[in-house]
Amino acid sequence: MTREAGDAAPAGGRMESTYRMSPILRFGGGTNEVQRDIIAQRGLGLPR
Amino acid sequence: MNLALSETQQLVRDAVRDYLAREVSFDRVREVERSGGFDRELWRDLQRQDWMGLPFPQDIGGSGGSCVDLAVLIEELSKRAVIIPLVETMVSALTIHRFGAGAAARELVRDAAAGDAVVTPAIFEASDRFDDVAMAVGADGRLRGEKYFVTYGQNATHHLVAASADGSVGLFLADAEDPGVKCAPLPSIGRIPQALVRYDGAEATPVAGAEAYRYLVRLGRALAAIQCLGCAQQALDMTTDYVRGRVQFGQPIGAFQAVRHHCANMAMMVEAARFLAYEAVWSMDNGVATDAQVAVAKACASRTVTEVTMMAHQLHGGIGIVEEYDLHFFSLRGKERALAWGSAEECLAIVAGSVDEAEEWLPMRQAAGASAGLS
Repeated sequence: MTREAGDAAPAGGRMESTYRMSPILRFGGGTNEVQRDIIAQRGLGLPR
Repeated sequence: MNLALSETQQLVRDAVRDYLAREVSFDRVREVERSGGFDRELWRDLQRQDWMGLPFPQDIGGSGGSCVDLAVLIEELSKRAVIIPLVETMVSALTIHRFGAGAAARELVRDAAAGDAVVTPAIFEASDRFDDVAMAVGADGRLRGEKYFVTYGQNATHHLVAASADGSVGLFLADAEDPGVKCAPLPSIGRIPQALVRYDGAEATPVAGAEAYRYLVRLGRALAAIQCLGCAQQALDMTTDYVRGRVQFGQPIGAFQAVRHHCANMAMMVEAARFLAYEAVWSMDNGVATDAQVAVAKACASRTVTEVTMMAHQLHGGIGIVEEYDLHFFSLRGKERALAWGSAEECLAIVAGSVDEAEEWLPMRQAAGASAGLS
């Protein structure tokens, strides 16, 4: 996974950049765990 | 894209749900399982209420509904784990209605829409593959050979047999009463009647060709996805009810995050399977379904029902493995339906084989998005 864009970087380094970006999406807008709590409480009506 | 059920579909759902809750107990389902047949009393009731005519046009005695309407009915029946050859009969009759020619075909569709005929597809041979149909119709127009996993084969009035003629696969109608049709039960995990059928010079009426066979498999696969969905939804509903009521360590176990998050994961899988399965059926109704799209829906539904029922047993603890409790109906039926009409692996192979054609089905999804509703 080459960092700098160039001949050795697949898709001009976009692979590397999206990979680095991806963890933030698991937290932005509420973590996955928070979403699961909401599904359980609001969607399935489980007690808190 | 609006995937909400129409008013009519909600009426279908509520009517069937009320009827099943009132009339069909799980103890009755247990009795039917032991009998080795199907629930004929339920079949007659559905017949009296004209449910078999649901997806057929009015001019042949149907009520002019769609396959989505039928799917709503099938989902409710699956949530009760009932044993009736409805999917098999509807898939066969809808295929014959669309592609079939000749008086025998027309008569059979009318009978099926009235609930008087039970028709089941006979596809698999020893290789267990949809694309490997070796059985050929003899020069005398008769069938010779064996078909495996013919669902309700021993209970049907007719078999719709996939056999090759002139180098391609076609569909042939065989009367189950023909002395050349011999069924042996093939007990399976799903506790639904399955048969190994030996055709020994049975008379075969040609009804449709290769295009019809492909349609039959697609429709069967889409409706089997709905059956998987029904089993998964019921397992989820039973589990959420259970964890709300079961108290341990001074609180309902549904308040523990470890339990809640499992339930949330199950709900996510069921939701994804629901949208894909109904979208696949809707696409069949609207003539825009592709093999890959239906395979995506079935792969998702197969995986969902397997994982959701497994987790349902885990969250139930000890009671979940007791035969007197009703959860196992959905794991066993679900496991069988997960394999029926193509397992997740077979379906994913179809998807993989068409990735370079992805353009073909993605624009269709956009086009479908413009028009609203499941009607």
